[in-house]
Amino acid sequence: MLMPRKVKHRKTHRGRTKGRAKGGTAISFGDFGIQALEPGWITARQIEAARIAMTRHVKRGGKVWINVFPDKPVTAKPAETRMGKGKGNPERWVAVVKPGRVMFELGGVDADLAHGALNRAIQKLPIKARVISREEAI
Amino acid sequence: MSSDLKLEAESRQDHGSRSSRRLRRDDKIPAVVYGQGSEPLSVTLDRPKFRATLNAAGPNAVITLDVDGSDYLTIVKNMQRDPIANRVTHVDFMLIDIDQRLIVDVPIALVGDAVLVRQEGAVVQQQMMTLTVEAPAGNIPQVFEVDISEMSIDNSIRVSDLEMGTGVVPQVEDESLIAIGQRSRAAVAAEETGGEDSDGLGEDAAMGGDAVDAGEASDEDAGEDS
Repeated sequence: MLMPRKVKHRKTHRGRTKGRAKGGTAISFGDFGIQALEPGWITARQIEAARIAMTRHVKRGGKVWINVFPDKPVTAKPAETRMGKGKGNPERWVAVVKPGRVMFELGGVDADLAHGALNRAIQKLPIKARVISREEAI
Repeated sequence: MSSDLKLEAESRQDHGSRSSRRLRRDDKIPAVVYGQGSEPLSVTLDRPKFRATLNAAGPNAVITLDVDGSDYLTIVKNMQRDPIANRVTHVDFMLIDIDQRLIVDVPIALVGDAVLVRQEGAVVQQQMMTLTVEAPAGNIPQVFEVDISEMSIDNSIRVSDLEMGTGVVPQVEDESLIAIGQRSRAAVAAEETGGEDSDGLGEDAAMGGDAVDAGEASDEDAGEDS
């Protein structure tokens, strides 16, 4: 699973996810992509599950790009623990995603296969998302 | 001198986000015309007409803008888009002279089926989506079409393989790559291990995105997923 090799701070604040994505809103590498329509946290496990769903559907050929990286640690307290005694331990890593962000890209396959693969990947994500293609509408 | 492509526009006095939002609600697009040392002129476009014009002629078309009866020879310099609604929110038109040489980005389209690349278990990877060229305003190519049916893994497509029009000069080196045939890590691993399944889990941080070959999935994948 994706995670940083080294971090400056082990625990971070949760933060606020306001507004839309400022960059990474267009397809850069492949021909098709998954664009977020809601803000949310995508965990490393969900990214991996989406990637596996895509690669299994495509079978051979094609290339997948993952444009988001889970660099935010999320902490949790152990079960049946009384409140207090400080912040919990880092449990998982998430990528903060805002609406408009292209999270995954797929290239080297035809449109039908790409739509099938990307729709399966969307099922693994906790937010609303859609499949977009490189052809731009005005 | 004017181009065959004509687009009507109205000049506007109201500026700012509120009036622009009102225009967009009425299916219009706020735009600005500038260049050639003249004062910038704020105009309004009709979205369906603008869309029809640009879809027919391409993004680098020379457009004669008819603003309240006056003709301006322009080119689309920049377009702002709403990534979620996927529509144009603002357009910059640059005034040009038809004899002027311009630097523009021309899209590159791959046509044909790369049979040789596919036979070798590889995929065609387009490295360059647009090519920056210097061209006379009257002779800007709308798209560079590259036939990839003869392409193989050893024989990649480079800028020097493109057919440039008269007076069109690319702004990158001739040896720059446009498309290559790349074997997936899964195919290479399968060959090395004598046909064993590979999970294609390798990662490549090239060009900003983490690239992963869509190889054949193995049971290990399912284990990691749970």
